[in-house]
Amino acid sequence: MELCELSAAEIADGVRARKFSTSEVVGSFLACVEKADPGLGAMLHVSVGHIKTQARRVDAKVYGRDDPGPLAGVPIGIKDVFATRGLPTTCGSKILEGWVPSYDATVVRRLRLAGGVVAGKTNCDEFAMGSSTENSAYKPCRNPWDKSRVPGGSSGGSAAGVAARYFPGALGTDTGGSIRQPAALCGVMGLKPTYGRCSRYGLVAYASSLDHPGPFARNAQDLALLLQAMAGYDPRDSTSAPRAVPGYRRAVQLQRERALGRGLWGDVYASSEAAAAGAGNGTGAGEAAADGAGSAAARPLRIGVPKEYFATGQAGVDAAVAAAVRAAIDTLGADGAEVTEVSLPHTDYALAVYYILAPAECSSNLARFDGIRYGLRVKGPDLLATYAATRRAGFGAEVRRRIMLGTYVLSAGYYDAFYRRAQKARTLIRRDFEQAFGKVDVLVTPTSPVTAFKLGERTTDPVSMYLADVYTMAADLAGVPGLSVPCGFDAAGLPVGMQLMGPHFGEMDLLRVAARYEALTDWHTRRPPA
Amino acid sequence: MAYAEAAGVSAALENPRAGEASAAWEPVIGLEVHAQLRTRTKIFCGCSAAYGAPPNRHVCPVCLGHPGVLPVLNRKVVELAMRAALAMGCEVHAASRFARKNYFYPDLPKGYQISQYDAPLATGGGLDVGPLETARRVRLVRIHLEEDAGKIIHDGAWSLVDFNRAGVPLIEIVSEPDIRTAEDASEYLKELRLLLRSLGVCDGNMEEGSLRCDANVSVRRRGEEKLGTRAELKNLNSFKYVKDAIEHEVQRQVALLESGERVVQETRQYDPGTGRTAPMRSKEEAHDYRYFPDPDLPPLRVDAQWIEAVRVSLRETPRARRTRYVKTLGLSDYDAAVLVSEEGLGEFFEAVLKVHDDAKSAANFLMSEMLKELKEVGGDIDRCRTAPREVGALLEMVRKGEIARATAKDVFVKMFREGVGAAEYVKARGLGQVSDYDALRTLSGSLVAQNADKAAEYHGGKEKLFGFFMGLVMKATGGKASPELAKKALQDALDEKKPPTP
Amino acid sequence: MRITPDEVRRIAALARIQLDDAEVQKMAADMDAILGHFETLGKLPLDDVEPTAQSVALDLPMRDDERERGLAVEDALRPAPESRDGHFVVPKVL
Repeated sequence: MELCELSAAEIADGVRARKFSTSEVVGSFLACVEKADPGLGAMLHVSVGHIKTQARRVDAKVYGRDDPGPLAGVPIGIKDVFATRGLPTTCGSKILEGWVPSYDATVVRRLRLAGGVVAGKTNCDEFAMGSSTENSAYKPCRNPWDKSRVPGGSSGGSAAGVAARYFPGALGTDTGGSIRQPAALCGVMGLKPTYGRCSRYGLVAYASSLDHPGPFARNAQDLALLLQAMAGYDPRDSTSAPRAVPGYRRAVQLQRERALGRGLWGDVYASSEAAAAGAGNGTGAGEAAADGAGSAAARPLRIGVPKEYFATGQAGVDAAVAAAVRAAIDTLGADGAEVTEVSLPHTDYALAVYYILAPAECSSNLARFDGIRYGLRVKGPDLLATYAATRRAGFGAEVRRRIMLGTYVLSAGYYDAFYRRAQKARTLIRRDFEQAFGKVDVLVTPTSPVTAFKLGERTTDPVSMYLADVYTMAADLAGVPGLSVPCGFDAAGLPVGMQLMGPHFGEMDLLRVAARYEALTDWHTRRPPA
Repeated sequence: MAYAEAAGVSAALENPRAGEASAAWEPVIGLEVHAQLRTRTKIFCGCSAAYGAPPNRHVCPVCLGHPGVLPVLNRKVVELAMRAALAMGCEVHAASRFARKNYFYPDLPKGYQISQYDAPLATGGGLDVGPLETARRVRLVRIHLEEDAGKIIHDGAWSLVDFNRAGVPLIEIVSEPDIRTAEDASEYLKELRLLLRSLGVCDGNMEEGSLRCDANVSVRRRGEEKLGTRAELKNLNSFKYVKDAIEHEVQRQVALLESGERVVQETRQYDPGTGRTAPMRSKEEAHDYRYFPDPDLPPLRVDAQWIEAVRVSLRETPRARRTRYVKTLGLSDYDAAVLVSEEGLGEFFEAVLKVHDDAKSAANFLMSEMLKELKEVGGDIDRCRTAPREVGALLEMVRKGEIARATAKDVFVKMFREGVGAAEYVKARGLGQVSDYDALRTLSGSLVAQNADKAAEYHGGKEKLFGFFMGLVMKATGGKASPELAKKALQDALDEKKPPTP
Repeated sequence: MRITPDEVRRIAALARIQLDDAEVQKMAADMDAILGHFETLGKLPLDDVEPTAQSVALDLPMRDDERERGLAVEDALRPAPESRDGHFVVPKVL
């Protein structure tokens, strides 16, 4: 087995124990990418110099006196929408071709500080706009389970890279489902944390109020390890939450061995004092929650199944997907969780709200790409023509469409009819979740209505592509965390993902449920064909 | 600038209604003033906000709008804005919000300006302008926070962009259309500048663009309530431009309306060269700024404690001080206005009064001598090297007759420039007045005796020869003689020689 | 909801995106189809609902007025398509 195929925990342990060096790990990664990526297209920028320099730095710590960190030597794929100092950052767009940031995104900096190695930049839909990674201006990314199919998107390269065993973990961003949906389609885990849990500084904004950085991995423990390193308040992001980070990793480890029937759930670690007690060292409130089976407050996990996510029909859920998720819910129920049906009555409005708010923010966020300070410039006869030609040549069709849509909904006379109404409807969607989480700890739904679709299948009709995210958009609008867990395969052998959603800052319960589920099943251990 | 302001104060007092359009038409004017806040760093990043660096030296990924960066608000910006707002009686809102104003321009790095739109930091309040007796109230609509844009230099077929100024903190102070004359518009701007400077909120440097003014101008028939169509005059960056541009614009609009034409709502630029306003080259499309709440910045909350802390830290406003000088010190409004017009001069004046309690005499001396020196050195009162108590001591010496007023002026120059002590310098240079009556009486007696012919003429009725003798006394004493005493001594000496009346 | 080609041109001008006639037609059709999905929102009773700008309620943090190191002028200008004498260069502004 190649070193890069190990889990993040195994690599970090091995590197720290000097069983193998970081240089060997990245060597294995580079060999793997060289062999497999021409057929997959998961990577946009891999710099041998950049990766080897980082590896040497980690190894120097391992053999010196400094703590190399909990992610020592772990190669991590970084979606190309995160700024990486010294490494090109193009957002999968021609307009940023050749741009090398002068700074690291906060989450990237934190992964590096934890000993992680930036393996390279992963392919994505241009500016994270898309659900198939076909909107990358450079090349499409394919699904490792079936190369004629898409990996999902927009973080398709990160999901595919993790599935193809390039690296055990990767960073993505989720604005409408861009972590969870490709995780489901590629058969890996993907976590979209609570809005504000992970800093957006250095994430090239698509829709600022909806963009969530988050990790991909192949098991819950690695996911926890990555979240542990990324999460926390960042003074450079005014929307990041000034809350302590609970100890995810240890709690996840403990939960693997414990049934869902009796434990501490929900607000045990939600209070910031308790969380602060366990911050940083992987112990404390999180651990107490997972280890609290003997406590008087212990009770079964309450799972809510929102009926709106199992509707059938034209835009409804595929039967194989529904069956796999229902079976997974039965597994959780058999383990002691209480399962009830709940309702999120405004679910159907999420698509409209999302496709008003996200393009509106996008139209403003992408105005800075004007060919003056960086990036592409296409000269026209005058300034106006230069702007228009630059932005026409630099942006792909979907990005242009969303900029146009966003400009339209914000323009004079339409703001109240569209933008303001959407903001109000967003409140209703948020309240749906608040009400549901008054009754249950975790919601379980399909992540995507369908398994991986064919390249080109949905590119001609934008709305059909938008419908691929119909089960993930609401969590982004409400800012609640969501986690996609592999839970089976369809008849064609394509992975199915189950989505877990929790209340704000409820990542811990999601990770614990995922950890327990993977202890009860082996879906997450399946490998795509070589 | 103090001298220009003082002159302005004077002009206003002499002719408060200068700039009025005509009997039939009433100008309606509102001003939008942008003031750069006196912070070390920019509003949303840690780059220097200082003026005058070579191009693109005060820049970082944030103020250059690099992909991925985010704004973080400078606390000092909020504090300074609150100072201005509270000093003008505005309501500071517990929650306000930043919005994005979207438009493309090369000096705007992000393609939008972060400003406040539907939820500004402060609303209401106002400013009194003109003489105290006939003060006019100009109400404010709002004060909001925003970031400045960069600077463009036009160079042939190209434009060069410098982003040092991009992200410099501004407050925009929007007045109600309460102003009725061009002169009052200029007065309002002066009063505002003075206030902002005294609060330490803005340095008020109009040449460097720290204070910029746009005016919305319309006219209507007197008695009419409905507002006319307005034109927006851009970049009126001196008091004179404000006055001249508005005067011209009012005349232009009146002429249009009287000839049956209509005023077009548009943005116009004032050309100081021609003294005219002209429409700015119209943009390709109508403005549609697509404001929406900036998702990178949650609502700005200022708690009551913070507002109160800023309120109690506020100094007396120049206007309040001016009122006090008139009401309790008995100064004229003009004198009071001049004293408060120069940063630090009022404080200096009040410190002088602790030693020399004749307010009028202290005011006169400072207004003539201090302002003359300040003008000479071209600086502010920090350039004055002497302390107020020394100036008070100097004025006391004049009052007691120990030195001549003319001498005091010369001594002050030395004090101002070299920091010499008043008493020490007068003593060391022997500048004290001869104030010994007996000595002057003896001197006068001998001078009368030496000029017996002139004395006779004097006694014969040529009384203006008294001046001739005074000249001799002053010459003999090197000008140090106390004029009062010398006059008495000479009179007595002449009277003694007066022949008995037949 | 019907988006006319003229409306598309107006929006494209605002957004500074050049579109040829065929693209205008296609964009109008695409936008029409998408906006059609927004009509559901019109039926929601929303009068008494507060808008949500941020999904997680946060207060605005503030930083102290302290200098931070920025970019050297050459680093600032390096990624620019065109620069001269310490400035970014653009075609003449109208």
